[in-house]
Amino acid sequence: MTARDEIPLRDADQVMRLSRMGSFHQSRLSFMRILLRRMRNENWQFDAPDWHVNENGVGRAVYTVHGPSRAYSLVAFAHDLPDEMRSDRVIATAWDTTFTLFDGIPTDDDIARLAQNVPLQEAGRISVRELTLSRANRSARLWDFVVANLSAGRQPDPESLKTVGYVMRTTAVYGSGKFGAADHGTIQDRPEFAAPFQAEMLTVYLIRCFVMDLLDHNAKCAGGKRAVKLSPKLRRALGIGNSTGLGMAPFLVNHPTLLHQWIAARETALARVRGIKTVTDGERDVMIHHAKSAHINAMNWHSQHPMQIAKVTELQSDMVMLCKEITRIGDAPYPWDRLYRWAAQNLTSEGLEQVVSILMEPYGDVVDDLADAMSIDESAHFYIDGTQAMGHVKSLIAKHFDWALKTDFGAGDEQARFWYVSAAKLEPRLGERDAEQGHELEQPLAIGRDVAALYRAITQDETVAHFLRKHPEHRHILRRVQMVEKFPYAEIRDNLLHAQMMPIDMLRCKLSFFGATHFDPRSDRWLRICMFQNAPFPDELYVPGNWVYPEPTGAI
Amino acid sequence: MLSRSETIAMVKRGARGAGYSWGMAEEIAQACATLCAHGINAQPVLAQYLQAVDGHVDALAMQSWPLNQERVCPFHLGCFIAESGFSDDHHQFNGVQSPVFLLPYVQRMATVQGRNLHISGAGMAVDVGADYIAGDISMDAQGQVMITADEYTLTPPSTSPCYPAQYCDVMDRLGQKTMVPDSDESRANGAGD
Repeated sequence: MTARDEIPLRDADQVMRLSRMGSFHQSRLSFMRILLRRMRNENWQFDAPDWHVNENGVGRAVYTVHGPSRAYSLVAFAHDLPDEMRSDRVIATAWDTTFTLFDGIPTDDDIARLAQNVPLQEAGRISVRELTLSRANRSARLWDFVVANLSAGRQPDPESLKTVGYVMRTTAVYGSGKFGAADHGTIQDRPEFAAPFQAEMLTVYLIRCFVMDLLDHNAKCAGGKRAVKLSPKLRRALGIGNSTGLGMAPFLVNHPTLLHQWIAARETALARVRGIKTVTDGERDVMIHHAKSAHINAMNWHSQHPMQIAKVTELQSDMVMLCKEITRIGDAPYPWDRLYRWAAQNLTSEGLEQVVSILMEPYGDVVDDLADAMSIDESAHFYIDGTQAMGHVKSLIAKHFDWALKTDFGAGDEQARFWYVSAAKLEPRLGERDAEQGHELEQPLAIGRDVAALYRAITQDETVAHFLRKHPEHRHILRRVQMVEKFPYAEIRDNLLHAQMMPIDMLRCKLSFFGATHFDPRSDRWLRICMFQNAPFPDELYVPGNWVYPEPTGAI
Repeated sequence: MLSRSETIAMVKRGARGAGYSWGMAEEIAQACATLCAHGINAQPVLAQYLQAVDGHVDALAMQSWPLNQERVCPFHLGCFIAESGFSDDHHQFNGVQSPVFLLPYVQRMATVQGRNLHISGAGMAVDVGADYIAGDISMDAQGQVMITADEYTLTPPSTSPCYPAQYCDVMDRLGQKTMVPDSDESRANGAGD
């Protein structure tokens, strides 16, 4: 184990700002990488796919993977979807492909049952034998382009692939009991699902395998003997896209203790690496290597959104500075702490948070164990301590929600928006308070405003139980105030109702923990990303190398 | 059958739609899930209860302590007694509506106190400990309820968790009241889809 000293964690007031969370990048602690490490370390075995897709690209396939004690199977359905029906919106009713992750190896009866339900997605019903439900659509232009090239016997132009990074994108990956699937609580004791979202990550990983095989299959059907398979290098460069909208945004607010675990793990990792007193030349070389990779990734990062274009441009510049600074860091003690402090002074938020991720890269032995602490039994922290004095609650608010107490929620911009659930689409939405109806049906996501209201309502030092008996309207927010005493990273310390608030910052934070790359906002409230791009396929898991960013020339 | 997470989401929306605060709606969903986890199907009586109090839940909230009202909401009372840190050996409450919903809160008390509690009255005689709820459970009773610290005598049934889909339509109807219909303005603002 690398020797290190204690460095304090970054303060929640600094980390839990939307602008900062909206600059997070994937890291060793991202859920995709946790899964990849486990599959490699435990020598998971992948069966050849059970392939029943016809010459029109329609049919099904089963991809089974064997862990140390259990098997899981992706059951994939490929459909013939007319172009005019292809939509990434939640109201879509048909997709190019649909999937479920089956707990075990499905029988013919299971397959028949799933064939009746999985293609329907929300309109169907799965069972406790299934762990996830998902669907994906082709990136129409790129899919046809790749298939046309392969069927004509040539590899597609790599630059064309690089711009998008995927040929198919998921529009939802449901887990945790949705639509009848197994509750997370029923599988969380399995080591392979101890870290968050592992069933969902495994689903997407296997979807990527299926999509690559489907590409080759369709090219072969179109081109016959002339067709070639996509080269391993190009396969590796393709991930699975994902379109994500506001539906994901409230997750971080609705799971405060879980959010804390994620952030605390990341911050602890940073503090541990900053606390390393001396480094070897080899570790320094690995750091430089990963900085160069991140630089290439930044250069390949394309977006159409003006805000993100500006951020990526700044990141590219930051990475140039970083690569130089690492070589200049010298032999004085605590080089990574000095590098971090230099980055905090000289780089943008986007660049600084990229440095946080890069710093972890050479130090799996220092940080990887933190993955075990990223889940939590949320129900254990649900209950309110009614014996606590309201005076203490008031002091907690003053300590952790100072930003909310300083906000004038009566001012126009501060409460310009409201979160609601659409009756038509059953999905979270963001409304304009002055222009739209329905703000009286606001969801409880106005954390800052409601904390401030609780603070004002505390007029005597009674117990919490007696206060809530008289004021049940404050129960939801009082629960959160008590949580933040133990879980300081549980709350986003920004006003989620503000006129200028960017919901994509919340999406970016969550998706960075998934391990997503190439965040490409399409508005302030939805974006596209890439998952598992550059990740090893099953036969490549044991080959050393970078699992996320492209390898720099002269790779170690 | 529903999953546990579907049950919690549905009941939370339904309780909020009936008029409970968001925090109480969370409690009610958690209480319902706890009963389901013990194989107790209280969904029909919950649907009936929420329909009955729909729009006037405040009337059954606790007006004072000690209690001095004809009818009291089991969820408000349950939260209060579970959170107050009581350690007395005997409690008696009058006018408790659908007291089956006190059981999750009595279980929390039993867990904190580390002992068996017995709940009786209103047609019930139930032993409650940290990991069991055993005895005669009346679904539709109301009235006087006593909670006492007794040795357990009733044998816990060997039940499996059960999250029935009965009465989803009632919950969904109530839950719809928490949602906002599309409007020209929301469509014009691009709402977020």
